[in-house]
Amino acid sequence: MKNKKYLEISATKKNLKKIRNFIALRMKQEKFSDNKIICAVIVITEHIENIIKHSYKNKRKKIKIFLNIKYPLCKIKILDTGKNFDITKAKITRLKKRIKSGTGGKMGLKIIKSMTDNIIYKRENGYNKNIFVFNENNKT
Amino acid sequence: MVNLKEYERNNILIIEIYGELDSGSVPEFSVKFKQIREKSLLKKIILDLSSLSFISSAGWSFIIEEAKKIKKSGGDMKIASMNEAVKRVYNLVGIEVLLKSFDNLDDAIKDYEK
Repeated sequence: MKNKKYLEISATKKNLKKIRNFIALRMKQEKFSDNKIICAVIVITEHIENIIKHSYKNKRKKIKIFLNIKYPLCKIKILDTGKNFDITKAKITRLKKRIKSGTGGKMGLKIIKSMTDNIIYKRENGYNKNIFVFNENNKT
Repeated sequence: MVNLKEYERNNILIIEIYGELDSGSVPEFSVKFKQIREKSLLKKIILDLSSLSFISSAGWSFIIEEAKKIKKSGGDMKIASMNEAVKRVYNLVGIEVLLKSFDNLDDAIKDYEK
């Protein structure tokens, strides 16, 4: 488990902490800073919360998580079988207005896009493949 | 897993949040938060986040909704003592338009006493 860089797990709310711990531990082993680890666990939590809510619509289905770490780069690939959704093309509108009115939607998208150094999206073989890149040398 | 502790100081309801707040723990948080609110008559509230180690947008959404409800009913809620990870998201998404934050609890209390 210690050096495991692949995790196949049900996308459930209860598993979010387990997934955060999986990523944080591997990045810590590779000497990433706390700042970069925080970015990664926040972004991946937001992404998986989106999968649970929008892509899987709270149905119990699996996701696959692959870590490819070569310091200073950490690439986290997440595969889900939900409907097509290209996060790189998603637009974030009227966020402050939403917050002011007491609704918080779209915050997750803003967080994902702002705290990731790069995002690559592909739809292949029935999977959404999202690769989130974190670069220790970038000050995100 | 998330826990809440509440106490009163200077006629202000202080609610301390312990643990992590994501879509998995929001339902539990929601129940505990509403129970505390129902048994208190205080209109001024401070969320002490010094022991909150993680919060996702699902957690923020709940807090934002509650802050709005509290304002509508003539009350007010502020937040205090965020750690760096929590503060980062707070600043990034612009939560300050609805919820004022303070570096520590004493400063938040002083703001109510102005």
